[in-house]
Amino acid sequence: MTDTTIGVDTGGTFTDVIKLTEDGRLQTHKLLSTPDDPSQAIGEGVDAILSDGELPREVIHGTTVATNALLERQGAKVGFVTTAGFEDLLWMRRQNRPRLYALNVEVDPPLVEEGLCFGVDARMDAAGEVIEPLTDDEIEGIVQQLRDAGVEAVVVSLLHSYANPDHEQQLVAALRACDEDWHVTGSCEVTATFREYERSSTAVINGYVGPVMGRYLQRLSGRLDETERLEVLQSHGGRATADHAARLPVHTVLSGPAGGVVGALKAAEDLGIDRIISFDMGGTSTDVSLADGEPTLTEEGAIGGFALQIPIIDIYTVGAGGGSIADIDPGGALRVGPRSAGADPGPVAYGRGGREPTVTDAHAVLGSLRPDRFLGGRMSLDADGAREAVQKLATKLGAGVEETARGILDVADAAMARAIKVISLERGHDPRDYTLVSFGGAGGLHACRLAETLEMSTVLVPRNPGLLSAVGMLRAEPRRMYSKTVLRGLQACLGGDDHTWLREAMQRLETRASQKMGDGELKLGWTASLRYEGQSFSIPVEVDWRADDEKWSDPTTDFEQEHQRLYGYRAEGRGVELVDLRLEARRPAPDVVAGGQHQHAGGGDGTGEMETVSVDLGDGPEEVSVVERSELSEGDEMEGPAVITEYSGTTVVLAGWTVQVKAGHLLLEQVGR
Amino acid sequence: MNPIELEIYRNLFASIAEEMGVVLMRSSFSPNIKERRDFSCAIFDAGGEMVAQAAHIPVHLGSTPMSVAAARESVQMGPGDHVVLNDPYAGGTHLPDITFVSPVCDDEGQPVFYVANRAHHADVGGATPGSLGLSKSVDEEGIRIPPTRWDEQLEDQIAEASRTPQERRGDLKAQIAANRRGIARLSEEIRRRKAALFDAAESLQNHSERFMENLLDEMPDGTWSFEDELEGDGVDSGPIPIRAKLTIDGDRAVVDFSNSAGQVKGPVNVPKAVTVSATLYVFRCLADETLPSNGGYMRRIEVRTEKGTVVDAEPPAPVAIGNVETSQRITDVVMGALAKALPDRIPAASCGTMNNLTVGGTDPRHGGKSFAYYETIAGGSGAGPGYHGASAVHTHMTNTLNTPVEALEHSYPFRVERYGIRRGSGGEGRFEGGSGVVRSYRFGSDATVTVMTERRTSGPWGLAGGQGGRPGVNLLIRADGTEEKLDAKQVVEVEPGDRLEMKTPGGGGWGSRNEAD
Repeated sequence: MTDTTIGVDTGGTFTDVIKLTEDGRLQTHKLLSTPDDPSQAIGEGVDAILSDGELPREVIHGTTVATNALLERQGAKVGFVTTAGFEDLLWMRRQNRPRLYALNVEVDPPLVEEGLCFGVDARMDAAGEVIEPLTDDEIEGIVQQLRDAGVEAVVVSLLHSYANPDHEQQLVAALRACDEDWHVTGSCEVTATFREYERSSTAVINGYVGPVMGRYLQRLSGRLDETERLEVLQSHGGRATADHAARLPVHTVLSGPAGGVVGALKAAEDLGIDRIISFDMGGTSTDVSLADGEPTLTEEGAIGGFALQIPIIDIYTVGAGGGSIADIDPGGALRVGPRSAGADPGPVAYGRGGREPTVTDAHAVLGSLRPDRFLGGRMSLDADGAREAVQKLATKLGAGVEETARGILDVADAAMARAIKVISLERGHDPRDYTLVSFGGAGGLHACRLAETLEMSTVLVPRNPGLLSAVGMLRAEPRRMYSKTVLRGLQACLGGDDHTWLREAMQRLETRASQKMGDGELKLGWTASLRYEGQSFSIPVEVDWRADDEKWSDPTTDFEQEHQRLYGYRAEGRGVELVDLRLEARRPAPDVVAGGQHQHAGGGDGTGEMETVSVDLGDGPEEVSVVERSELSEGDEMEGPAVITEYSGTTVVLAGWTVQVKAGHLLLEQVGR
Repeated sequence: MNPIELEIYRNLFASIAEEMGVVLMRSSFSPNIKERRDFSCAIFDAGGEMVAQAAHIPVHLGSTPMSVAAARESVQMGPGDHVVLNDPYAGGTHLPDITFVSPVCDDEGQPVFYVANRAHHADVGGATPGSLGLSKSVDEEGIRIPPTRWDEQLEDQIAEASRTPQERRGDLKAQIAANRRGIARLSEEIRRRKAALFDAAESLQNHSERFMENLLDEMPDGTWSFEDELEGDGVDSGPIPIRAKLTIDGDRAVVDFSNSAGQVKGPVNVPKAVTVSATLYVFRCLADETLPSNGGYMRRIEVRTEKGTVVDAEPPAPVAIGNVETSQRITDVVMGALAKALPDRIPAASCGTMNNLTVGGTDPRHGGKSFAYYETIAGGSGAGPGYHGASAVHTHMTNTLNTPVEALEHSYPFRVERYGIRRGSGGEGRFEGGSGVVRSYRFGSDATVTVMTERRTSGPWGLAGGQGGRPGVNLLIRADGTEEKLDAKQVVEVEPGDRLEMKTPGGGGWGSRNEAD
């Protein structure tokens, strides 16, 4: 049997299957997704890509099953068990309203029905001391109430369980011992961190999507019964086993976008680039994320309006994409988005009934989108229709049609530049030190312009940008994360009573990680979240601590330097508090895809036909070379202005930039920078 | 400036103000700033008119421009200067809100922009922990700072005045850091964009003015009046009427509060800045959410007050609570007047109080270290034409977050025993008002508890035949089981084992229940 690894991305209209062949080449297969049961397309795709007699060793996939169940509210009937007096916890949220100036205050209802929240008479204090014990009668009463309610999943989240999980664990154990087919989640199994609403919300998402995910994974493993390992990409960019995903499906809710970021990082790695800003511009929105060798993680995320307090890749989304509609606001300024023409009817240029001008239509007017080469020539654009729609807006603005089209792009760029500033400048990173890695249908059209606005001098457009997520799945590492709230003074943790207590807690997590991740080379790394005593927001600092070590190094200096970098000052002499510890356990993925050694599927001979047409790239019409990407070969180099077209997108190379094919990717560099 | 550049620059200025806010929130020490986000950041032009404000807390909308005006009048600012103030009678609102104004200077050292941030400090001295007590004069409310150039001596003075000096020093550093970030970003943009940046600031203000002109133009012309009241000031007996006369005349609006009650002995008075903020907030709600928050639209709305009234107090009237309570009632009366002009747009009254609670004392768990804790509790929002109110949300002039119970119990010597929806407290109607909140506390040490609340006698009003929401209740249950119903505004000493239960008002209903669809 050969060692075959397969990556599958099921995010969109198509399911992309990508196989790493024995000689290090990538083989791809694309088929229509089967949204009612995504496992069907995956099963068929995997079968189709395998040669006779070949068996897959690993299948790694990203799934939107949990995400869709959550966003479409098709999840399980969940019973929520919490400390008595706090049954409404999920309704209280943080008591703020989502929109400041809306007269109609709208708040998303929780994922649990009002009658399915149960209070337990038992109480811990903040130090983890029992104030009111949990009795067997109380446990029996809760179990009975849940039976009567006929729930499919149960989530237990008690106050201060991060400090002492005893009560919560007793309840969870009792619930699991029942002969009921419940998916049971204890909040501390998901995240042992403080802040009751956020922890409970995260645990409830887990319970809500749990049964759906379990059924799905069961169907999938049935279809892939000859696969040795079935794995799922996690929202933090690592992968985990199907068993783990069934138990803790909340970790997969952002698995799709995570695949893109991992893929972008790996593509950059092929060229020896570590620092990237990934830029995924789709039809209705744009995702940006900053990475420095590793994706940036956050534990302050949200999905569908619900708090998510687990490590996820820090992706910032802005409502501007190819389908964003351009309009004039009541004060007379040009607006682009957040309204979108979506995929249906889509931009006017798609000729499917869209009437209002979009970003895509502006490109069609200016010629940067070639009507005859859209989707590799499989669809033609209605450039006249697009022009007509932009003309109407131009008349309202009292401007020319090209001027208006350029304006639409400038305004869309402003929104995206702002998003990139949020993830870079606002967090103490200078975008000029980063490479913009562009993918998504509309990314290549804007990447060069955006780079100029932000004074970034390098842009990378990966090969097969449409398959980037699938490649990301294939190349992701097995990884797990465990968090533990500490909330003690840092100095007390470095020695003394807290030190002993903490080492024991860390030991338990290190052991758990080793058990769960199996044998083999395992890298363990601890990150300490630190803050000055009295602050609320902590800063993650990597530490070289191990549970076995008697002595730990003092990270105060690193923390203060980071505080200075982020906020412009340090408060020397003030006590530092250890808020959370996070363990990351990872097994390095074998470096399966070395850069540059495999050809693009449609590799040309470099003499491909090029045409020269008039395109307006921002300074009026000019003669621009247009070339099909498949006609470019490794090492080919061109100067801008140029337009490179391919099935999954169009890349604009502005004047003053060069483009080179390296390791199959397009590397755009600004001349003289 | 063309419509395209306008939008690009709107993004640019707004992102700088937002970034200032991130620095302030993440590096500060007061729960009010870091957890509850009771702060705001803004950019002003050389003439002191607002260019951009981050979407933070509405009550600061119209009042920060007055701080900048006061700072510019009093201090000749140059590179590196920061001007600090909190005096309600010289550009401030109430003493806990400390404002920093800093110039962005050109090569000659002349201010070309100003950045400002205001943040609610947990304690600035005065007679009561948290500086929100039943004062009878502004001088009892804490340290009062007229516009003053920042130096370390001033930091020492503020720290010495406060019950929590270390926390004050940290917050003040965070406020300076926020302004420095704003100055750095604006300086970069001036270098990069030169004159275009100044044109853009002016064009954005004009754009916002046109936005409001169009909005007012579409409203019917006429004059409408509305009256509501504060129940009391905690010192004298109430009620204290607040009256608004709204006039829409073409593309201008005038809101006249002259006929409101005279200033009172207790701390519910407000300086005019707060009245202006509340009024601007209401008009801001009528506009599209994309209306750029700057001085432009404010030009179209005139606020008239009479000096010496509760809505435009003169020194030394106490003002500690006015900013949080009276501001809500001013919002209600402007809404009420507008409801007559636009019966199909305006919702019934919301909770109408921030349900302020302050607990101060010493913490036996930490060697008797003193603490001052402040929080506000949500209520129900008013129902409107076509929608029910929401339960357990902060409404109108505030949008602060709660303090997580786990964070609170970790830091302070008392516990929360119940936190939930107060079912049935929303006003009935074709559309029902949102429900208020029940939150109860058990104290673990001797402490001074201050409740500052409103809508305890009668609830928020309904509209178009809808019923009012239920009024709130403040109940103290002593360790021995004795119950005491507290006044709407009261300072009380508690002992270990005592319990406080706060029930907050629901929102008003909209439309008669029996009305056929």
